[in-house]
Amino acid sequence: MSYKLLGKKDIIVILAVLAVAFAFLIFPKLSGGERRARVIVDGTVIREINLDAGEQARIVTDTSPRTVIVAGGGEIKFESADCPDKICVRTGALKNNGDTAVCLPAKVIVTVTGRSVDAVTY
Amino acid sequence: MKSGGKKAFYIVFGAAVIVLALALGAYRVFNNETVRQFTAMDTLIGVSITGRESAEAAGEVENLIKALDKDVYSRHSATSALSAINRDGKGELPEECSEALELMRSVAAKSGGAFDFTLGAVSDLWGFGTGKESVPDEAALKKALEKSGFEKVKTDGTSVTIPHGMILDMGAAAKGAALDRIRSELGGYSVKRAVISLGGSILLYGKGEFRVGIQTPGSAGGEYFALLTLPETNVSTSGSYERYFEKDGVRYHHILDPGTGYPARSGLVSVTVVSPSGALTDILSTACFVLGAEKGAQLCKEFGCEAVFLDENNGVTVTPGIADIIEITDENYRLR
Repeated sequence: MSYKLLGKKDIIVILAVLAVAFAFLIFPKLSGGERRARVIVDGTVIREINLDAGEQARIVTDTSPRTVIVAGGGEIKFESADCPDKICVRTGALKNNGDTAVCLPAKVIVTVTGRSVDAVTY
Repeated sequence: MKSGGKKAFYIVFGAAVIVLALALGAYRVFNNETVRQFTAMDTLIGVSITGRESAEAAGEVENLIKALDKDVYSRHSATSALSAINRDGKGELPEECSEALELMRSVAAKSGGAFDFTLGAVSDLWGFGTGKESVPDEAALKKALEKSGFEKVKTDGTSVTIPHGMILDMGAAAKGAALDRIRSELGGYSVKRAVISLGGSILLYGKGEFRVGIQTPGSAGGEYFALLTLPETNVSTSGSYERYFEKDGVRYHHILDPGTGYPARSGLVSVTVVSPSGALTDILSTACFVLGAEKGAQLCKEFGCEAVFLDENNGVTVTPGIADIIEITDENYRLR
């Protein structure tokens, strides 16, 4: 009695699925690059927001000075801050990959992740 | 015969899957990436390291940056080596820091004083970054200028002596010097590739090519007008858009001309310098901003560095070594 446990077609399908699975594991960027914004307080990421999904958020950081960050409609920005020079607020809306605003006194960083370059010098 | 053939096939197939899994595992281990962002040295720090020991290396780099800031370079830290010198008129600097000081002195001398690291008293009058910026009055400015002058700094090995009332400011070299220290620390870890940004002064470490954008003045921190393709090296930029305030319609930026005590007006908006020495990229970008494109290019040549100059008309000038590795990526800017 001989029966086929696995036919040629089955083997090809299995290998193809494995190859694609490995590809997604090795190259995570292939699995769809959604624009994400990150709010980092004192070096720790406290919140990630999916900008491409239009996620809305209003974050009041528990820092001194306090900052208020608002996200929605595919962008994120510092709405207000209690710091002296308010450079963070003046930076305006962040929407492209790599856009970043910082409030140094509060140690708050808001950045849109994903870069097409290794770094930007300024 | 048939079942024997099938068994052989399964064994080979199974072995192939195992080998693939091991290869994938090894790949993931050696390409393990650690990314950190935090604030220190009064600016934004970005650390991105790839390699088996990326997490350990990133932790070490973060600790090192904070320690260098607090213990050596920061003027705002009462316990830093620099603060001690400014307070007591003399003190000791760690070796790599006194090397940076000698480099600053060399650039100061060769630039005919267009670069000077003894303007702390003058910058304090302007108050950049404190929230209380103002245009100093002429008399106060003159007095503060009299207290400056790099020729008055005496060094003997690692000890430094300055005249009473002078305030040293290593802001033009600190980030670059820190990058040089970080580069040598990274050598002690199993790390393939690293990109470290200290407020826009960048260390590129590892084999292969790196793509570095030059920030578009006034943009939200991710936009660039030109792209440089570089090997392992350092890149720093000085720009009038980084730190400034406006009063009565006039913009005052933080890069002071040592001759006048006022913001330098050389027709440039930014200067980007490339060099294997991090400290040099940092110091020269400031010096070239004050000198202007022509004299700046000459100074860079003397120190064996390359540079990109952006002028107020969106014109871009480059030193010979940059011509083949730069691409203008914003149509509003032109290569001269």
